[in-house]
Formats: sequence, structure tokens, C-alpha cells
Amino acid sequence: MPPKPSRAEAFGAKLIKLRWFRKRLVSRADIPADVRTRYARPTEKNEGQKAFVRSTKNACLYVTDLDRSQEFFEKTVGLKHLATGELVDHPYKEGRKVRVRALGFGQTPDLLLAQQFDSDGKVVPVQRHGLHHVAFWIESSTHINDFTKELKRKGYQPSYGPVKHYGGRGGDGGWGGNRAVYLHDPDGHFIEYHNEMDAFGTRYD
Amino acid sequence: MNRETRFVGHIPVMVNDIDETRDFYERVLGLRNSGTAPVGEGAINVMSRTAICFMSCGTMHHDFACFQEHDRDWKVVRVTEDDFHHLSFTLQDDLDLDWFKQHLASLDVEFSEGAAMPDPTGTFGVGNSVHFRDPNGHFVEVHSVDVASAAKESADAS
Repeated sequence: MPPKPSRAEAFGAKLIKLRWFRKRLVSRADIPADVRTRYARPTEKNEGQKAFVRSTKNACLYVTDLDRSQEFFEKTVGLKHLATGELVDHPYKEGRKVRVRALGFGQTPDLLLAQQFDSDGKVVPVQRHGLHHVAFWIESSTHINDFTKELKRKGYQPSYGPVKHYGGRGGDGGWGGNRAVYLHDPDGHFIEYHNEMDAFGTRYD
Repeated sequence: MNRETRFVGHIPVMVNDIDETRDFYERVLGLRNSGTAPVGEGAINVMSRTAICFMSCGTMHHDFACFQEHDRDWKVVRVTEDDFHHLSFTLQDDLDLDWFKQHLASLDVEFSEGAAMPDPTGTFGVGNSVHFRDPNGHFVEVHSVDVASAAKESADAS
């Protein structure tokens, strides 16, 4: 079961959807000018050129308990177990071993879970600040509000949302137009479930 | 966007420097910047003192994003390794892996053949995948199109 947001956090998540509240927070935050303005303008690089890749395929998350994480992704988004590998040497970390489990919506891996062991055979704890989140697209015919109700019925309390990432009424001032709800997985990874995303080229200014 | 299947959409990662990371993904994967969000504008940015750079493969608003987070003293929170291992992308239909390897070599990006982490299903490996590190130490895996077609068919069938 994911960590449940406290009442204060749940209240904060509602307040932060209000533009006037965010403005108050920002004015108090005393952001240094260089940090504030540095990323204000998009670049035009690669304009008129097709990207070399057409989409994302999967991500490999570190976890501390393969079964517990598999249950989480099975129940929340419907990923199925495809295969679990043997305990092998970590390809990039000397002295560590790793066991990888592949989950998928079809026959190919959409999510890999990797459990790491140190040289004493102890499970390596999961850190933060590598990934921001992984976002799963939910079929367009399911409204994210209904998807959220279903999550709650299964006992998963959203960490954030449901919300629409845009600057208009009812939006949270975000970008992309995606309607989304977020949970924390058992290791604290931030997981998004979304659809309704805007097309590339949509501007919000 | 209307799609009736489930799949991994975008994978935003923490970065040490937005400009450096954006430049890398623009050159290596040809991604395009679809917007930047300075600290303090959207809800997520306000909560975590984060600047965001959204990047796209050309269809969705974002398929990837760089998040640069700041601590209470406005210093950048450095990226850590033991959170996730890699993210992967599928090559465009009209490009093959040999072309992509030449492209990586021409940019002096060191790469290895096969999957970044052993794939227990055997789907991704030598012959259809390469992987390399981005400036933050995150592994990026790129799959060629024959695997991608299989992946898409299985996603549509489910």
C-alpha cells in the first residue's frame, strides 16, 4: 500500500490549484532573479526536423521488493508479469548483483523492476532524485476522474490530482493539457496516470 | 490525442543542468523543446522549487522532460543513481540501428550494444538495442523498429 498523504498535504494539493494561492507562494519564495528567468524561453532547435525516435518505450526502476512492486503496478494500471531473470552481476556496478523483472501491457516489457543487492547480499535502498516520474497513458475512453475513483476503491489514495495540467480554470498552472492523477509506488517513485495530452506545438503564453 | 491502449507516455527525469541535458537530447535523439517552465509557475514547480524543460518526439506535447530541483538555499539538488536505471525510446520507422550507431559515433557519444539492463524476456538485446549515458549518468536505451512494431502490435492487441 502506498504512503497515504496527510490531511494537511491533501488540503495543500487543493489550494495549490488556485492561481492566486500559487502567486502568493511565489512572491514569498524570494526566487533569485537568475533562477527565476533562466528557463523562461523555449529553444527553436531542430525546428522542421523529425526526431530520431518516435516515442518512449519503457523505464527500469529500482525497487526493494519485486512482488510488492509488481502487485502495485498490476492493481493500479494492469501491467502483467512477463518474466523474471536470474540473480546476475549488475552490468554497471561492481560488487552488486541485480534481479530484473519485466512487466508488460502486451508481450514486450513496458516496465522493468530491478532489485539490487550489495556485496553482503543486502537489498540496496532506493534513492530519490534520479527520476521525477513515470507516466502511463490510460486509454482515452476512460475519464481520469473515473480512473481515480477506481483507484480509491482499490485502496490507493492519490498523492496529487486528479488535475488538468494547464493554466485555465480548474487547471494547476502546469503544461501539456494532460488530465492526470499521481500515486507514490511502494518505494516512493512518483507515478502518473494520464490522458488528454495536447499536441506538440501548443503554446500556453 | 486519442489512443485506446495503455503504454508508457512520458518519462521526466531529474537533471543537474537543464541547458546541458536539453542540448544532449536535442543532438542525440533529435527531440524538440516544447516549452519551459521556470521555478514558481506551475503547481509542481512551486512545491519543489523546480524548473522544467519539456521535450517532444513531435506528436505529444511531451515525451520526456528535464526537472532541475533547488534546495532551500537555491542550490541545485544533485542527481542520484539508485532511483532508476534507464529509460528507453523507439527509433523512427524509417531509421535503422546501424544508422543510429553511426550518428552516435559522429557525436562522440560512447555507446554499448544491447540492453542497458538484462531483459528477462529476451526482447531487447544485441542486434536491436544500444544504450549510452546522458550527462547526468542516466542510461538511455534505444530500440530499433522491428522490435517497436512487435511492441506496438502487442499493445494494440491488449
